[in-house]
Amino acid sequence: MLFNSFEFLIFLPIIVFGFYFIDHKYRWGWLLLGSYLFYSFHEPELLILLLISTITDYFCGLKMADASHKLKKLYLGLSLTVNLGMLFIFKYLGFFTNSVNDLFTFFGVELTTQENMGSYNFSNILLPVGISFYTFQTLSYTIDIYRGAIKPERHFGIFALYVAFFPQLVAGPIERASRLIPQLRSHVKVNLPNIKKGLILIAWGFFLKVVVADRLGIYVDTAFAKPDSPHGFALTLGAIFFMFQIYFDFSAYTSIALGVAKTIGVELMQNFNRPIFATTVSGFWKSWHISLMQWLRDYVFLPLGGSRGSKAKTIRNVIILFFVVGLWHGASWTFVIWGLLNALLLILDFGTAKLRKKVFDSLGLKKRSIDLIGWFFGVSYIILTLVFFRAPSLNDALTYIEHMFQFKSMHVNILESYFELILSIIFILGVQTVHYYKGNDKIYDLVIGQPAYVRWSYYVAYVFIIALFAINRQNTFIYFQF
Amino acid sequence: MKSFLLKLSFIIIALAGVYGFLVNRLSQDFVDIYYEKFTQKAGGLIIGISKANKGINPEIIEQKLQALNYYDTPLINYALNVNNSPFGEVYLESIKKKIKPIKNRQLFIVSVSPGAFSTPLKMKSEDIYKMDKNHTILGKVNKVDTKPNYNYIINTYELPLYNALHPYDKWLFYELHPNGWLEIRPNTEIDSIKATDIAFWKAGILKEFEAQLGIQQISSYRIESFIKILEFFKTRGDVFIVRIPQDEEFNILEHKLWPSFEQKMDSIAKQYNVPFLNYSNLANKFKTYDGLHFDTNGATQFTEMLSEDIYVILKNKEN
Repeated sequence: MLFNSFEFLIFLPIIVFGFYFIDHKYRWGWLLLGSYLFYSFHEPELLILLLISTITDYFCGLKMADASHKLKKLYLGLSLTVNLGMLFIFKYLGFFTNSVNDLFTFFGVELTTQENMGSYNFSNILLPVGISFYTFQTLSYTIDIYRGAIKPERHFGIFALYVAFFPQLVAGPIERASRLIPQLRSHVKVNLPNIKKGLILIAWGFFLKVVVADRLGIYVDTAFAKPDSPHGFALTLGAIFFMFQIYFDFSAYTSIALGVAKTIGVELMQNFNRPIFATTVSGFWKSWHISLMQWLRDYVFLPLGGSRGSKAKTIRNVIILFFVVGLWHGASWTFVIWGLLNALLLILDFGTAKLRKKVFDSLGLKKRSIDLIGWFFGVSYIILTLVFFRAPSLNDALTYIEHMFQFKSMHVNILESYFELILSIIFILGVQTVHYYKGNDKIYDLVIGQPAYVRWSYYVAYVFIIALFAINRQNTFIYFQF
Repeated sequence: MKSFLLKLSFIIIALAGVYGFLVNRLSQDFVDIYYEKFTQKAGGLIIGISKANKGINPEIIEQKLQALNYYDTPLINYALNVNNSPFGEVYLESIKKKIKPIKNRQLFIVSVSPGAFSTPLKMKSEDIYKMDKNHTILGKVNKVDTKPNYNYIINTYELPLYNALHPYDKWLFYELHPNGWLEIRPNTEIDSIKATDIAFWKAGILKEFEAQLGIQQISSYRIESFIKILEFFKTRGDVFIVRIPQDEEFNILEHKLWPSFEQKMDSIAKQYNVPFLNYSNLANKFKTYDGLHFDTNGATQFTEMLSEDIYVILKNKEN
């Protein structure tokens, strides 16, 4: 079910009202039922994978509780095999077989379909929505038990709800058991201010999605449909818009997820902290998709040694980290290249820190100017790397970048509507201003606590903006595909 | 709590009210190039993809067959384009909703092109159905015969609704008629389509055709659905399969996708005892605006020829 669908508008009030009417003892059952309905609304068969993951990790978690170190390792291995195995089959097998095929072809060996994979074509396997998110969430549970950081959850229903909690099931934030499970157990009473905050976050998320991100998406789709367009400025604007589109789209999902959870007394973690205002690339990655980056830091980067060893080892670890970041986002070389390009800049960022400081000091630049330069180059580089993220193939990405820098034509009005173009820019500036002053999570401060006439002005403006300017596409959120 | 729920309800009702007002306002003006096709019950249908949408004017056929005096009206052009009206179960479901109960006899013209039978490579039947249901106008619209058709606007209109507040700045050169025919007028009082535009569009469509060759295939699911549609039509009246002519370059590309297309249509037509009017050998005879789709003159001349042929066949059948 999509957050921006008619069904969800019916589903949400039923779940919230039901939650407060039902006795605390049975609320987990109500939410679990709702979560499974939410997930399987269009594709019931996908529930099987979620259940396999849930049962495996529940079982492994319990078995690890008082087991010997050897047995713990065995059960952790089982959990990793099942979860990563499913992820591999459903997300990466097609990519893997195609890459092997390409490699053989490169060396002049043609693999026939029969030799390669029988009569089945792996690229036909459907990617289950949210599999990357819930796999990582449930893996953190078994790894934390293995490390002794948490105790296993004995209530199967609560654990199943932790894996399938509908507000964050399909696109995060990726929550840790130590944060989420105690909240799912707690006795929540009706808290009107919290419900109001939740509704404002939901409303903000809807606005970001249907008015801003989807509007930018139209321009982006048009620009990326013709990577060899002679209109270099339009391509550049398309790339800039894409950065904002993906940010607002994902931020919209997160905002709705946080808001929905808040209405039933659950605080989810924030996934963004004003990333576009970051003045360094490392700053950007600390404030972009925070739950994923923290997950990868704790379960990939630090176990590899993090930045504690030699320079060479740190560089290796950063490359591995961003290789995984790229691959996590999609089974395609474009995502891998995108990840590696970010690793490259981070390495350069670390490697040239002293040199840059020397240069800036010799020029007598103040911190504000240095930050501005850092921001400009950082954002420009991110925009450029995101072309690989958005383009359907490496070829398209390279063609797009090549044509971006051919400034023969100043034509940017590729949608043939200056009004829409100006509107898009106004909305970007408006949202960024709000994010600058209120961050990504305290949006409700704009409304709550304000005089009645200010609040009602917001409500009236919201009604008209949504009704007049929404793009009625019912697009899925971009991060659903991961 | 009571006051909170009251305020919340008020905001939701206000949002629904403004939205409803805009949808209603839009329904009174130009919605899009298919809207009129979904605003009435049909006594007969022309189905197919964009070539039929622009190339067959129901009015000319209705006038020609008036002499026979036993055809239900109105005859509606219910062809959209290759993305929105390929042959499939979804098309059949929509046709069943669209067609009136039989009064006398009903006429059905089924325009065929390989594109209307194609799907992405190796796609399973159930996935084709889902794709058609979720991504075509025919699949999204449940009510196909009301005016104003709010269901159509809510489910398919993707532009922002502020467009309802000013006259839509539509393309100068087309007009969607109430009978569903999308007329392309290359010459208007204000402007004309230039030869360079025609060459540019033709090159663009040829490029698109070529690009599709590597990623599309002819689907047995679509062929079976096409036959089901023929069978359904046969229970209600007279059916004609029609192959509309086009420039030779398009014929060559279509035959790369389906080399024996005309033979296959011919054999299906014989098997189901339906006339197959194959005009593919008349390439370049009728005027198009892009090598593929007829303009006003092309569509008028072609429909006149088609209606004459249909009339002769029906007259012979009578005798």
